[in-house]
Amino acid sequence: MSDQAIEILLVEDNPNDVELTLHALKKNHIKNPVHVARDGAEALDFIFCRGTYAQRDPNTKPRLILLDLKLPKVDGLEVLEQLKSDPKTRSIPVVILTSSREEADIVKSYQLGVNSYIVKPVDLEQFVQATGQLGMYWLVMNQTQSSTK
Amino acid sequence: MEYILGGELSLKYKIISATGILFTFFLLTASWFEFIEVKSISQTRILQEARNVKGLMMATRFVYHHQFIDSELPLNDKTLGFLPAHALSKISVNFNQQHQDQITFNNVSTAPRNDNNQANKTEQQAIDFFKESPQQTEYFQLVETPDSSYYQYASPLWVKEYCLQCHGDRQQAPLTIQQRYLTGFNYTLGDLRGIISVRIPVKQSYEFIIDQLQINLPIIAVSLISLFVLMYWLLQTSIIHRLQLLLTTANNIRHGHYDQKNAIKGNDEIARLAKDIDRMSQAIASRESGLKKSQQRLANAQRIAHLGNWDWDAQTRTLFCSDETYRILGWNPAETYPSYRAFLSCLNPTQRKKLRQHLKQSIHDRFFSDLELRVNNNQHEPCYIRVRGEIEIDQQSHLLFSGTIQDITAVKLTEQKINALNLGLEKKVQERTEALALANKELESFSYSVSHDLRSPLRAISGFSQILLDDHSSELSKEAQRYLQLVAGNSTTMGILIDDLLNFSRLNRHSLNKQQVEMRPQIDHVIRELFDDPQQLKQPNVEIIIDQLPPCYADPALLKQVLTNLISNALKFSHKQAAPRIEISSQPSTKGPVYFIRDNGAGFDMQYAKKLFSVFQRLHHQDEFSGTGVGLATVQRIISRHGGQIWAESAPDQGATFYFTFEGAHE
Repeated sequence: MSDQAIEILLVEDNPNDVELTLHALKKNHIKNPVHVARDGAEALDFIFCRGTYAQRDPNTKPRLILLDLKLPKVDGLEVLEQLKSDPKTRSIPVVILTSSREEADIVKSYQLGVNSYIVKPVDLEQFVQATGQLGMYWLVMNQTQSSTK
Repeated sequence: MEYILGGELSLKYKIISATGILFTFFLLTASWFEFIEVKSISQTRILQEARNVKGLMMATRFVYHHQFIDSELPLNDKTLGFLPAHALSKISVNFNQQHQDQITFNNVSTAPRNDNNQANKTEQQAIDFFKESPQQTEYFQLVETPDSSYYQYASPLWVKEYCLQCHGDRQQAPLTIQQRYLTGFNYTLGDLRGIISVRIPVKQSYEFIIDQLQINLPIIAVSLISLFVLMYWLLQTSIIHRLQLLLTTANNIRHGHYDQKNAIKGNDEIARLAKDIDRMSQAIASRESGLKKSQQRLANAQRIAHLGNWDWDAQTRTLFCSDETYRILGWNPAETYPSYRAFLSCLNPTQRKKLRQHLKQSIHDRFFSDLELRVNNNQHEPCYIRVRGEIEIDQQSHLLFSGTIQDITAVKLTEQKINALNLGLEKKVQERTEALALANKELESFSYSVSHDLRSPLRAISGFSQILLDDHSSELSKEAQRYLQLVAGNSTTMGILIDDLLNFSRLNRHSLNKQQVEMRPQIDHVIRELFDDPQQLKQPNVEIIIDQLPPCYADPALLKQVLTNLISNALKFSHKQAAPRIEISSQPSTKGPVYFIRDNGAGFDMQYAKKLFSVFQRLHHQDEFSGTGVGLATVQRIISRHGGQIWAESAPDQGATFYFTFEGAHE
């Protein structure tokens, strides 16, 4: 997996949600490689090629990061802050995918520069729909620096 | 006016002294005039006497002359003595021997035939006087020599016709005369032959004067003394004694004995003055009684109000204090003399400094603002006073302070108690607020957990059930599929329920962003959304009537929730009707507009109306009308946060009307 170019980084501690998200991506025929980080620290290590991911090529950046907010070790908002404050990672689209409808979370996320904020619907159908839409937008429709090269 | 109380008036002595001096003066003056008078009388008497003597001499001369001629006696040495001049000369010598008065007289000439008749120096002056003033008939002069003093009287002897017989031409004179005398001839008619000279010693005059004065002066003295005594008696009875009575009365008045009247009789000025003083005394008594009453009232008022008064002359440092002021400061009027220093001694150093600064400022500003001080009055500790005052500047530029002093200990202690209570209360409020904030925070984190952690497993249940139904239905029996559908459906309901509950719990934390909102666009928007929502139960042919609505003052987002809930309910509960109808309107009230949403749906029994707005309370079965039981509770909370009210009117199958206001209470 590590040899393959990572297109999507899914940061999610709940295995159920990981499975449902992957299911939704599959249902939407999004075949891009997905790497799952189980907490904020792991996600940061992966992106900045540190710790267990020290061997990873720093030039290979994910095309999309799906980030949960409530995470062990380092929480989602802090991960977001570090990503958006580093020039090397600032351009990576980050979509918050969370159960929280808290306005404080939404406001804070947008202040830190999040690209989208999606509340995970309980209903699977709606969840699949939402995932499909965000995948289509950020992976297909959206033109980034790397994709235009 | 100075006088000796109870003693003699100095006025009396003044009068006696003045009268004594006056008496002496009168006596001396009278004596002097008497002396002058007596002296003048004495001279007149002497002159008269001299005249008498002269008259007698002239008569004697005349008689002798004629007698001699008529008798035709021959003139010889023996008869020569009958000649007037000779006879008179002899009479005078003889008179001196007969008479003790030492009155002397003679006829003298500057050219006498008898040497005894030679004029002396004084007589020579008289002769010269007559020669110079022939018209004069008398000469009267006081002559004082070291040996004797006497009055010189003289009368001229003019040569007459008969005189020429002996004093004319010598050849014509009788032979005896010619033979005897060499002088006394050749006189003509009207020549001055000589004078009749009379000398009366002054001693005689003195004796007369002394005699006279000895008689007159005692009479004058006795008269004056009598007058003096009479005058003194008059003064004593009519003035001094009565003045003493007046003085006694004045003294009585001074000591407050107003009832003792003057015993002065009569109708003169002093009696009138006494009557006036009596009247004045009565007036003073009446006024003093009024004043005493008034003072008593004032003292009572001051005592009841714990309010005393004072005034203070900053220059003379004179301090006046009322009884209540004494009491407040704990001063005994018999022991404490009121003074600035005494007042300072009631204060501790801090309070003294405060007072001094206040006075300095007051003098500078010419304004005395209220001052509160803590004083030590040896009565109750602590004692607080409030000093009020004003400043006046008199004509000598003196600063006169006057004001009040109030015992505010009770007020102050109450104030302190209130402050302590307030402090405790504030502390309690702070503690409660902190506890509340903590509880709120806990609630927030609880809500967050509910939002996040409760939804996650629910999503898993719902998601995996759905996956089973979608991707593995061929492997499941019909029964299993139905159960799975129930699981999925309930999960979705629970998701909605959690969302509703979260929304409801968030309402209190949501800060209100009140503004004027036009109702109609909001309602249109809500209706459009509800018609787009596939989950919303409704009949497509529902008739919605919207009246003209006044704008309301509310948070737009929360207003939208209210409208969404109420209109959604109206659509839901009327969707089973053949001709569903919803009316949105308003009516005016004293507290602003009352909006209402009326449907012709299922309605409800009014006995359950109270439960309508409580969380999880539903009046319909889930299989009749689905719902979570949170919607109306949310609406009610939003409206009450806006200070408004919501209430409903309904009856089963009669439709329902929900009224609500945004500000003020329903009448």
